[in-house]
Amino acid sequence: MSTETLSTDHAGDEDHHDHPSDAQYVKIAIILAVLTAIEVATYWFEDSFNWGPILVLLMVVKGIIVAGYFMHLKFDDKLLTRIFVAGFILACAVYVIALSAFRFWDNSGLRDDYGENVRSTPYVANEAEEIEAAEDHGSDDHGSDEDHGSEEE
Amino acid sequence: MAVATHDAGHDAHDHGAHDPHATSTGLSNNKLGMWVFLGSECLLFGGLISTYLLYKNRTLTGPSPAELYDIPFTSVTSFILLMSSLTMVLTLSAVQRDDQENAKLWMLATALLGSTFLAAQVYEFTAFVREGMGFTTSISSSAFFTLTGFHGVHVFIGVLMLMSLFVMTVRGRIHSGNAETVEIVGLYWHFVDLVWVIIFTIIYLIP
Repeated sequence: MSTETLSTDHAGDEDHHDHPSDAQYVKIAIILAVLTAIEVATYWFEDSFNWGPILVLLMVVKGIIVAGYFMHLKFDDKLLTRIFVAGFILACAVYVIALSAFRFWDNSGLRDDYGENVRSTPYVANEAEEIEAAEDHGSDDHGSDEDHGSEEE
Repeated sequence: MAVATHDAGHDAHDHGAHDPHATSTGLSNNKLGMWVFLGSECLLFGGLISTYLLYKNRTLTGPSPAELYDIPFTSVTSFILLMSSLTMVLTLSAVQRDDQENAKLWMLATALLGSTFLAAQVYEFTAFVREGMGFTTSISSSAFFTLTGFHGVHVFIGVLMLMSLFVMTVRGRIHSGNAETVEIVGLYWHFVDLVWVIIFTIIYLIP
């Protein structure tokens, strides 16, 4: 079985011999793992700094590395890069516009139109039951809010 | 050896000597088709991600997804999927060298890592349901499960494609001459990983 097959049958991959070696792929994977570790590390310090822009930057860098090296965009015809990037940019543009239409960036859409649907306090398990239990075992001073004469004892 | 260009296919005949289907772009139509498909998939996931961003705080009942995230656990699953991209590219490299044994090994490793990621997703989903966040609990939970569920389905389809490739390799139908088949499956798999890189950052990590 031939082990010396080079780029004789690769339509569009004439520069296959320029692709990274297995060792280089492993190095690239290590770089991606380190970047992921840095991203995850921000979780333990999220209150100390606004990590949003840095996380987005790391995400973009990781995306470029995966697309460029693992997906071989760096070594393939530029037409493929243009097709993929065009779709990506189109998606970003369309959905930035859509989010802007919903006033996502200043959250005003949620406050003005749907403010009553946004819970302002953190979720507590069995919160409703706890409140009800506290009312049942507490004083009877809350009775004026639900004053149904036929139900009073 | 002619260099591929995309100018009116003047080099199509050069490629025709090696590729039975001469194309006007000088590129493989199969590969081009996969890239066009991946470009369209950007629109799909862009819509799902945008929907979640809009609705992530809209919960009347039950917890919101952000209140239940287990970042360390999801970090491990993200790492698993990242490593599956490495094994996928090593698969392609082995096929291009006609190294059948390593090709099968890396293919199985990729499918295994992908399956592990899926199992972890299922575990995470069931944990969320136990915590009180189901698919119909709130708008935010619906958006979350739709987004991550669609991604999971894509991973599942990728695993099926990998297992098909494995069977073909075992039968001797995959070799360096048709390594492009493996490359195209690899493109899909790497895209699925790329989408998870975006989801993990935007949905899980960014406060």
